[in-house]
Amino acid sequence: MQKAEQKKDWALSSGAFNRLLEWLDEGTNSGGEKYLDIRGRLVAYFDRKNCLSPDELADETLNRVARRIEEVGSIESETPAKYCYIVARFVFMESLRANEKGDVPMDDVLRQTEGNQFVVSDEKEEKANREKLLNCLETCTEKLEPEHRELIIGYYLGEQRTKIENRRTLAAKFGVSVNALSIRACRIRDKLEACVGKCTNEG
Amino acid sequence: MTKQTYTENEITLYLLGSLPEDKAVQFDELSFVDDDFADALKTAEKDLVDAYVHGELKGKNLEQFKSYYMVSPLRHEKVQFAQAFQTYAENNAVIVTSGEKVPVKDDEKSRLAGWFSAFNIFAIPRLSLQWGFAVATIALLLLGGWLFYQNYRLRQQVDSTEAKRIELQQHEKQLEKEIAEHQTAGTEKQKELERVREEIAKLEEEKQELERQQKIEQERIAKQEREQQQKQSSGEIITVSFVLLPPLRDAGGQPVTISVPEKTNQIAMRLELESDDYKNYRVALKNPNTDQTLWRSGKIKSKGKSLNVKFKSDLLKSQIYTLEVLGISGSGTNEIISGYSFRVVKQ
Repeated sequence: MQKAEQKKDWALSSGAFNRLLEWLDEGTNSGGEKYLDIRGRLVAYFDRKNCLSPDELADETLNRVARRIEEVGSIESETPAKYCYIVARFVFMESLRANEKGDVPMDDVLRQTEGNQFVVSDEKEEKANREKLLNCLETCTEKLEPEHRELIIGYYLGEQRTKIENRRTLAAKFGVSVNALSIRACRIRDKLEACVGKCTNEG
Repeated sequence: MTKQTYTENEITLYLLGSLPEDKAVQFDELSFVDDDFADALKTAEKDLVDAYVHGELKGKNLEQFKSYYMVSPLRHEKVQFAQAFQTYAENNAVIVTSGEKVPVKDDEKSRLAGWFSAFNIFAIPRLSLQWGFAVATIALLLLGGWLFYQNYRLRQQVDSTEAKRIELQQHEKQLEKEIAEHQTAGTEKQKELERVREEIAKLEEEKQELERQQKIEQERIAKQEREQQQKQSSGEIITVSFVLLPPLRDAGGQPVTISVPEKTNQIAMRLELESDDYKNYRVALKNPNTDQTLWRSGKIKSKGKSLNVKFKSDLLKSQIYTLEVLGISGSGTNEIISGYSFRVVKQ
């Protein structure tokens, strides 16, 4: 009981966070990229499971990992990615048990129900959101490097066969394979999404 | 964990929540431990969302997308972002030519957006496509030119063949005409031949008639001679008469044979003339072997296109003689008209 309470009260300190970063980097210095990457995977994982708050569950997972590192000094039984996954599974199972017990608010429960689409309140708000989104998109795209801007726009231009042809041309232009181009485009898009998400929240 | 294989379709089903549980758990772990899978998963998710935005999702995938994928607010935001980004990309397409980047013009933006987005193929020039269109255009022009030439040449051949056909038809008609003419000419010649044959037959009949008449005349003369001989035996002059036809009407050109009985005193000859062209005639009896004139008549006139002469039978022996008929012209000159040859057989 005491141990559980200690765990519950545990907060991620800056020292623990740094150690977490080091552990995730596995000897290299990614400048926090590894942390952002693993956190993104955790969010996506919980989101795929239709969890209510993927971000919170991802942070919870990383907190537990950091705490474990604090407790044992180092985790070497598994790779960081594998260990994070194992912890994430536990966190997910716990969230499921919490839902079954009724600890989740009814509104959130409804949102979890299959078959219910995410419904916008009204058309006017939808239009306003779209406008805001476009403006933020324009702002965020302007912040991109010109080469990245050209790549991301060209990558997603056209439909079906046209899009495939465009991508081949772009890949040839940048001197990379189509697969490598798709990965680059994916990362640039993630950056844009994150920027747009932040912009719309601020607006 | 050993590296596992996965397909794009499995990843799509995983994203749509349609993968079997055990496989889904494997993919959950892979999304953390396999960087390649993680990248493939992100790319596949973005492609899935873009497919939905472009209306490319159909059937069960579309249903799952709406009922499962779109449930999550985070994923719904991804869809909204994709929709906005698509619009933004179309409005801000950049045309790159010769290394120089030129923004798409406003009028072209409207062309690229909305319903005309399908023609975005022309927005960004691709060398291979341009060359392909150029080659195709040239090929079409060449094909069109070749077809035009072939058409012209065939038309020329048709016209030439038609002209030849007309010419042959005309020649055929000409030949038919000539054949008809030849047939007509042949028929006419045939008729003429028949006419000539008829004439020859007619002449043959006339000749036979004349020979018959001559024979009758000779028999009559012979009868007269016999009567004369009977009178002569009682002191009378016995004359034997003969008729001689013109030389052209003699049978085969042979001289006529006359039999002179023994006690004949006088020979009377009636010479048939071919034509009666002179007022007076003279007749001379000649020996053709010696060309000696044995007897000559005075001027005599013709009677019914014939001349009557008499001369002594003593002048004749059993041989061939000629009675030469001479026409006396107005100036008094004698002109030989014809000669009547006859063979004498003394009995």
